[in-house]
Amino acid sequence: MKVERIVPAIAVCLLLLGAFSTVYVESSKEKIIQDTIKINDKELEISKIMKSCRDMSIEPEAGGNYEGISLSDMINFSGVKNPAEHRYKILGSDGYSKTVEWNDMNNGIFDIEKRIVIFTNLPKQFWVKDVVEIKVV
Amino acid sequence: MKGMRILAGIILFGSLWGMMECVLGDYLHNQGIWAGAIMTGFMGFGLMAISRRMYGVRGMQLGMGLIAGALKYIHPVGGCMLCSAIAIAFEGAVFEIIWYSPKLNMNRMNWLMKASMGVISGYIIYSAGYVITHILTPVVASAPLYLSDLAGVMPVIFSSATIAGLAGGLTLSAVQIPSDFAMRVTNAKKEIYYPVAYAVSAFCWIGTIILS
Repeated sequence: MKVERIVPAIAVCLLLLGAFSTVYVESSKEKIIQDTIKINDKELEISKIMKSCRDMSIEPEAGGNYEGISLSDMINFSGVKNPAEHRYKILGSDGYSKTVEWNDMNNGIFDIEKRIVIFTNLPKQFWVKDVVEIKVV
Repeated sequence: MKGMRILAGIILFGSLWGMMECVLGDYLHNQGIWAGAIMTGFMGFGLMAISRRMYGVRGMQLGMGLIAGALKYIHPVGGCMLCSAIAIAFEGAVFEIIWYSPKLNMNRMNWLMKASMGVISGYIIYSAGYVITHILTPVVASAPLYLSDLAGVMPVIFSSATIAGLAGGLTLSAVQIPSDFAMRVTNAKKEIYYPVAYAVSAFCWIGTIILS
């Protein structure tokens, strides 16, 4: 088959892949419930988390100054036993996720207004936006 | 063409690309627009396509990516410097792989081939850059790397790559460089060519750092 026929066919296939992926991402997007966050399969109220967990101010290596609730306190509040022995998968509403260690959780905060996690010691790639759930793995 | 002329061209186009990533890319990122896809499809791929059409030299775009990635990395503010720098540096390499075949000559393509190759280039360059930076950034930064995270994010990558693909198609269709103009620029007198190339490159680096 000629290159002039193959190339447009590949281009169309890629655009179709993109279109189907967009439909998939949009349809599987988890709805953000502003008042709650799911941690360790439990739906927790943000207001209760705010009362029980420390506020922290951090200056990440990636730059800037941020304030939020301590991620490690949130995990402890959710009742995870032996937290240092687990990893934590942070999920955004669009399916973007990052898995981090307990040490990273000790250096991280959750910005309630923007629903973003920020870590002092990790690149911005790990700053998951529109967080809907923190899974314990 | 002499090696030093090509080297000056690599530095010039790479610096322009890097500056645009730092200035326009960060602006788009802060506005919450698909900065990565737009910058890859229009700016990165556009400059690589222009340089390939003007110089017709393979390997040049690999160097451009490295220069642009370096400028992005030293850029003191903005988005994820390390992630972006790694992605940009590899985008040049992916361009070289896609356009390796001598059969794919931009100067001899009809509009359909140009649009199609633009879509393919934009889509694959963006997707590959995204995947590579997801793997290499944790490795470089000594951060945890779990490939299961990458699998989960693939639909997001394929979805946003559509923007890069469409931008690439538009860009390659729009890049029109008359061959006599390209000849005049690339074969300009060395008393003009080198000072202009290095002055513009220096402006990009110094300007980016000062503006930051």
